[in-house]
Amino acid sequence: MTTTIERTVTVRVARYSPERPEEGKSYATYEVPMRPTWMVLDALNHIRWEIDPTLTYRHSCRMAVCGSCGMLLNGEPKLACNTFLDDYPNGLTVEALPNFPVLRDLVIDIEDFMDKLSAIKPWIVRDGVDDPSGGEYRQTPEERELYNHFSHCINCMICYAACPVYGLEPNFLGPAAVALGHRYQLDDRDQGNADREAVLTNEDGVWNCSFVGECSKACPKHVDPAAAIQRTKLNFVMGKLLTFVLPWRR
Amino acid sequence: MLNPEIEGADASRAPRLAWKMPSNWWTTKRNYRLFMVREASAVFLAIFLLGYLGRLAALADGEAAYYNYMQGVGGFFGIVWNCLALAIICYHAWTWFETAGMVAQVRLGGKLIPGAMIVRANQAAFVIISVVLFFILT
Repeated sequence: MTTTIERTVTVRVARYSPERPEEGKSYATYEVPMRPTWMVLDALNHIRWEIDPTLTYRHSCRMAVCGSCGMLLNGEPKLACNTFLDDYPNGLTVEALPNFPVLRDLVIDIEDFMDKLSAIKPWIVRDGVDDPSGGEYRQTPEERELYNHFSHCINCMICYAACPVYGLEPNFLGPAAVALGHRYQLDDRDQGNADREAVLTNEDGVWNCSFVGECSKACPKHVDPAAAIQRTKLNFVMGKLLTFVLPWRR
Repeated sequence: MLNPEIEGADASRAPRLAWKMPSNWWTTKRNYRLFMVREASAVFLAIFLLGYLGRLAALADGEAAYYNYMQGVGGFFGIVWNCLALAIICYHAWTWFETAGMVAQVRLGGKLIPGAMIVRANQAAFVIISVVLFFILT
């Protein structure tokens, strides 16, 4: 009879307890089985279920759709459910997403992001009340293609964690909110562009972006918020220029 | 509400661990470092242009003034500086073209042209025009 010794990996997890705020941030170390099919989220679940039930983190769908499990993995913001544990054979350090206050362990305070998200009205805005008997609003594939990939945002906040501007200037509207605002600006069914533009182009809006581009590199859904920000700047300037040159144009 | 209090906590909530951006943040990732080089390249461009304005002013003052000016800047350190400024300005131009593919949306026959194609077309034009200008001016 042979005994197979299971490979393990050392996982170092950042801890913070609001009951003991004076202790600040600390790290706990756990030995976790290195299984080829495990995601980092499986390792965290193993720690909580088998080793330390006090470990706190957000997760839900396990398939990179809900955007709950964004974390800093060896210094890179990623989704824990979408990253193989096997990618870290020499050890893994898991921390809460940077640029946000931490509520407990790996759980960040998302209130600021939720305020910014609602400010850009990420839904189809119509003038007045539509009569549903008029039927649906149809779009051609070309009209949908204009905004399609911006609509893949899952609000995971990884782009905010990757953005040094947001880390330095917390008032900055930020990548995901602009990407979603831009998505609805490109949707021909939407009539809320004026309100949205006022938020996107105010002093906390797109002009704060210095185009580091890390938001687009970090995005797990390939949304490309950096492009949305630059195109919003360009569209705004072109609109103002056209209004100046052709004042009769609204 | 775009002014959240990121530092500290109010009395009604559990204390939060505030985020503080480290001053060396730009050294922590390759992309951040390249970004800082791109931003700093504007300083090299500004200094180079100031030197160029000085050269034009000397030219306006006549042949002798221009000759003296060129003698002053044409030494070893002047050549090293110009080579360094050229390399950094080329890097700035190259990365600027790379951003063009992200921003520009060009349609051909109703189809969006891929951003990578716009980038390569810009970079190819940059190289070809630079080579043509080099042969015209030398």
